[in-house]
Amino acid sequence: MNEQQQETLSALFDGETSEFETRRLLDELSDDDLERWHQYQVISDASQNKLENTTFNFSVVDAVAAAIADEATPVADNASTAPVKQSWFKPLVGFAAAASVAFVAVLGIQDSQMVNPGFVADGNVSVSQLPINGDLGLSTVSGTTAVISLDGDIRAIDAQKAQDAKRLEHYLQQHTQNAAFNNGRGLMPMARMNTGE
Amino acid sequence: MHCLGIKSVSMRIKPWVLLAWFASVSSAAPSWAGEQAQQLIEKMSVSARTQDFKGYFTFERGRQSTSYFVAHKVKDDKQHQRIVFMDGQPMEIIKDGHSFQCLHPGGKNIEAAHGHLGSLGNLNKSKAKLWAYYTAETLGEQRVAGRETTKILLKPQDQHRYPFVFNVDNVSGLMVKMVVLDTHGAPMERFHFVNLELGNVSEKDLAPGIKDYRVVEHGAAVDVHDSARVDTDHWQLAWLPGGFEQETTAMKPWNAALENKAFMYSDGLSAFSVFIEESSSENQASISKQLGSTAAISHYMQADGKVYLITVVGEIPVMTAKQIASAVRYTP
Repeated sequence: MNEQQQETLSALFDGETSEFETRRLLDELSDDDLERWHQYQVISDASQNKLENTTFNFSVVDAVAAAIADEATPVADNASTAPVKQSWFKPLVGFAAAASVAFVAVLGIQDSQMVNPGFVADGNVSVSQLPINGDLGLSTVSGTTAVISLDGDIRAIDAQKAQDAKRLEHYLQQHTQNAAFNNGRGLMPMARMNTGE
Repeated sequence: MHCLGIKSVSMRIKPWVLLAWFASVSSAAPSWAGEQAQQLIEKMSVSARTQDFKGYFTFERGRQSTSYFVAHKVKDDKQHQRIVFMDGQPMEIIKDGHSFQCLHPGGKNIEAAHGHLGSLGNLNKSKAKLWAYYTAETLGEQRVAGRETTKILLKPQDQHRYPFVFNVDNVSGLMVKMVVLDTHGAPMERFHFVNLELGNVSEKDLAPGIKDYRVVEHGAAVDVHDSARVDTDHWQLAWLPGGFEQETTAMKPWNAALENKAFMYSDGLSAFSVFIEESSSENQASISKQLGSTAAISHYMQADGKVYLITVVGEIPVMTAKQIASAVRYTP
């Protein structure tokens, strides 16, 4: 990775690149380049106590999601374009994998004392597919995130994410009610019952 | 099985520690020893059950703010209380002696179980345990909701629970304000009386205000312990934060048709629940959510040839919730 590519990649993660620059960079860089760059970035951020900011860098996810959305539609409409898909698909998948690696790598460092980390410390659903009881080593994550490669899988993941989110809300409600009524912790748990939504 | 621990990554001084130090050296208010602050906290838990009061309070969580009316009266040695949710869907919670009722004009059921109500009512019976994991110190005097209060910082001794700041009414011992801080000292939730009146609680204050209401009996909730198909002896927590003990639960599973189990643990101030359910999901992505001081995380594990979803929800730091979820074990 040359210096210009590093600068462009840095700008990409800050959400400051144009669509043209993003596509050119994705074409030029290998998966190894992206993964290595992320590792350097995470280590640098960790040394400067900036991990939290790195974790919540949503611009990466936005960039990947936007790229997938832009490109997926024509492929879904016309199956005969499959050969064309190959031209952009591979680097895109590579970038998706690398983006997930970036997030999980951050968590891997933050959660280094945990037996089985595997959570994204934000308010959203993770796009990465984490292995059950798996180690969050970079190589493992790179392999498992490849599931994002098909449109059908993306839709299935979206549906599952929605289902998971509803279930999590159900458990939030059950916990809040039980805390409010069964264990006498007073007015605060009762107030938590009202989401105002 | 072994206990898991999280090493402290940062040696930075927390802002609330600085706040406490600054207040202790600069305040012109009377200086209170830690023991006196503890006594005030303990008095607060008693006052919530024994005092007659009514008033309006707000609850802020993130960018969200909701308001409530509460009236509390002790009659024949029994607590009577009514809470009116002033925002969103109409709802009232009536406590008549030992039972709760949720009143709705219609719509979604809110269910709960029998129990006792009162601000920090559970604190007093576990105060010895509480002081093993928190220290209390006064931050001075402050006027809140038109009342003179003493401000107390309740500091956790470890990173597995949040700090609290209480304003306790100097006359009644009632909690007038409470702020839950995050581990960096930033406010996450704020409970704040804007008006508090001692005594003078009428029957009208305690009577339901919703016309044609529907009562949901709290005892109607399904006890997961009773309905669980998972043998409770097979599931253990290899680790949980010190001071948290298991409590009764009446929590409904997401899908009662599948194997499920639920536990709740509390240290007297904060609580967390662990939900275990068999899963048929193919996409086993871990998810997390933070709502004020409440963290919720889910992840999957394999046990006994099946896939289970482990969910931890509670008023604990998200890292602690993750650590608890990772400590769930199945023993054949």
